[in-house]
Amino acid sequence: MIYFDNSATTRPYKEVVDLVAKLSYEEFGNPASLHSFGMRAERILEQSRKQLADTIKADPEEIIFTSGGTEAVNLAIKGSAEALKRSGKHILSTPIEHPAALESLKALESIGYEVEMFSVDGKGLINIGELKEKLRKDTILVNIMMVNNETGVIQPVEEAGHIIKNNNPGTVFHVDAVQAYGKLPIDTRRLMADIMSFSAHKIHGPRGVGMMYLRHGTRIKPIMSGGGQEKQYRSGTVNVPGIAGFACAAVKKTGRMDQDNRTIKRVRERLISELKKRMPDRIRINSPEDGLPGILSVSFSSVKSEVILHALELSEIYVSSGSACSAKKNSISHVIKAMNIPAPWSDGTIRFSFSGENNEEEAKTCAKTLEDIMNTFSLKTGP
Amino acid sequence: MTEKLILVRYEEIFLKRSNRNVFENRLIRNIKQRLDNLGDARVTCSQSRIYVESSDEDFDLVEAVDRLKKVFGIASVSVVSRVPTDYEAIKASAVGIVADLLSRYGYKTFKVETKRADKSFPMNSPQISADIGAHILKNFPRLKVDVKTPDFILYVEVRESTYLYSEIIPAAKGLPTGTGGRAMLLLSGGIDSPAAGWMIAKRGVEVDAVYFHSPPYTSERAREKVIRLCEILSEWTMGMRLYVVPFTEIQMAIHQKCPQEYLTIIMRRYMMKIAEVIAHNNGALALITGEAIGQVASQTMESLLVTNSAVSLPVYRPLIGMDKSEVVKLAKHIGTYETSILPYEDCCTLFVARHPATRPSLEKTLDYESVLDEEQMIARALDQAETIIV
Repeated sequence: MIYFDNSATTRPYKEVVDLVAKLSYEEFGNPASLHSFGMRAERILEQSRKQLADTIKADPEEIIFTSGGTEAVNLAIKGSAEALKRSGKHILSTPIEHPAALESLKALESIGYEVEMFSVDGKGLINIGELKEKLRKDTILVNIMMVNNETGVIQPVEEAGHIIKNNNPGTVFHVDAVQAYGKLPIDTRRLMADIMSFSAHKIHGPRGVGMMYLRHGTRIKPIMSGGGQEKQYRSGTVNVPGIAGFACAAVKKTGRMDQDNRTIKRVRERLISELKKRMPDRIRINSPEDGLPGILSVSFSSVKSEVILHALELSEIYVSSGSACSAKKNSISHVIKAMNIPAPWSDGTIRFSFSGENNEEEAKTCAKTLEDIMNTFSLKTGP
Repeated sequence: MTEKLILVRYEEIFLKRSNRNVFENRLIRNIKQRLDNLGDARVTCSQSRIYVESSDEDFDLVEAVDRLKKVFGIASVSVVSRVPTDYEAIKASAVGIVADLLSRYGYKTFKVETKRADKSFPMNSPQISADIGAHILKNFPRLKVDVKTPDFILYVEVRESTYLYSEIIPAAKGLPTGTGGRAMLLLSGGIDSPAAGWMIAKRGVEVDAVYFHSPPYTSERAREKVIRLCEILSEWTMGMRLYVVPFTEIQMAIHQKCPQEYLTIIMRRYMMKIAEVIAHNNGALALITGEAIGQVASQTMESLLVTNSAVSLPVYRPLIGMDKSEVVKLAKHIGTYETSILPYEDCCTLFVARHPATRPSLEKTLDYESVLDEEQMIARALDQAETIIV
């Protein structure tokens, strides 16, 4: 099996799985319980919080645990919009966000918020000048994802943070760091984000665990009613084993970030060079060279992406497609569309996403298989 | 310990033939098979009605009724109480049933309907109804009698024993599965074909299905979806065989060698031909398709003629005169609709021409087809076909 779908999810580290299993069975206390067994769980929770906070140079008090990246993004966007509704209704965002953000924004729009999108260039990059222009007195929230999940483009979030805070310190800046975490250094002291979102399973942690960084002094309203866990921000019994697994994965992943990135870069470059060697005219690299090495978007000219995906799976090679193969209009991803990638390229877009567990040999096999697929399945029209 | 008893009715119209026993026996066998893992139950036939009775604690009456509703040949079912044909026992049972109903529903009006098959019973039907009605009114002073639109009806059937019940639950009707031979359904995963298969199965026919799988143009999920559709259908059809036939090679050959506007029609003919061979090997006497006149280009009368002439077996098209909305309603009733509309759209749309011929000619079709290596390709597809017992 060749697993090139690490932006969808990753295989959890063995030690993460072992730790989660052990804590689930042995330390099953509820950290909110008053007795000492609950306190033991609470200690594990707080230790994990500290470990995770350290990876982004944050204060443990600024970490709120959630059920995953989607919940963190929902809480960040809806929670801050609700808290700031008296200061304004204007929100800025890139159009190439994850659906968790785009759908949250749509929900806000339907209840009277004004959501304005930046434009992006052919690489999927926003323009800092445009941010400056669009920022208004009543802009309550700016939402920018650090690394795009389909192309790997890295947005200038540090610069954006400066502009926002210099012009309008009251505007909340949310950065979706789900795809960036563990792959790029993140330092909350330099990055002027007020809120950031993270997910465990993208960095070899368990599913169903995420976290939100909430800078001291930033106000949000919870979106879930309940027992008031996580300082009232996120009710629900806290998933201590999962969070400990998250911390374990985060410590390991950030610790080997450079080493993994070197491996990933070699795999990526090998795949690109093999594809260019084998079918130079039939591929188009959509990801920018200076994007995240782990995400590579490639368009193929003569076979639709879903056909490529299913053909690859027959050889146990797993990837994602940038568009669905249907007659319907909206089958091409909003990211590919926003980048104005022309047809027929846009119909044949595949996302390869790598982890430190991949190797160059896999890239070579994958390219060879793709060549066969192009030769077998490009449809030549009859008489 | 209470006895659990279900009364199963079938339409006697089918039983006026000399082969009445065949139908009854098959129906009893099918009922036993469907209720098999629910617990100990006896299935008996008396006076043109079937009784399912169980004294098993674990026997789930609600589940049993749900399953019986999907057994072809059954007209309706009722959960009944059986008491000796003794007037005091009947009255006591009537009060018990009404008390139970009132504890669950806010009923305010009722009437009693009596059938007296045991003519030796000293009161006639209207007398029994009136008297039991009065007895109920006395026990439940808030209830009123309403003979036109009552909230519930208490049915009393006086036979060798007396049966009381308040609900007649309509069932599948049709004829018992296995009394009508066998047919082969061309199943696509859409809304129509499962409904077509169901219509024929309803007439007592054992239905098997063939599905054409075109990886990588169709996904594994599309295949799973078809298997799921077969599972839903087999709740009615007492199980079925699904033949999954690889179709990629044929589809690509047609695409490469035949004119675009004839792609679909030639592809349909290949599907029919392959289905016919499987039908032959399987003892099936007909093919079933979900076609309806004019629904899509490949279902015009001209197209149907061209498709039909690919085979010599009869092709049953039970939806031929139905509107889409009628088919949707039927699919919802069968339970296949929600699965059919799952969005695993496959890339077979790539093989559909922008402007397919709506009036294809058989002559041209045969001419275009002649460049294809039919025998070899069909043999290879059949060779690689997979059989799934659902």
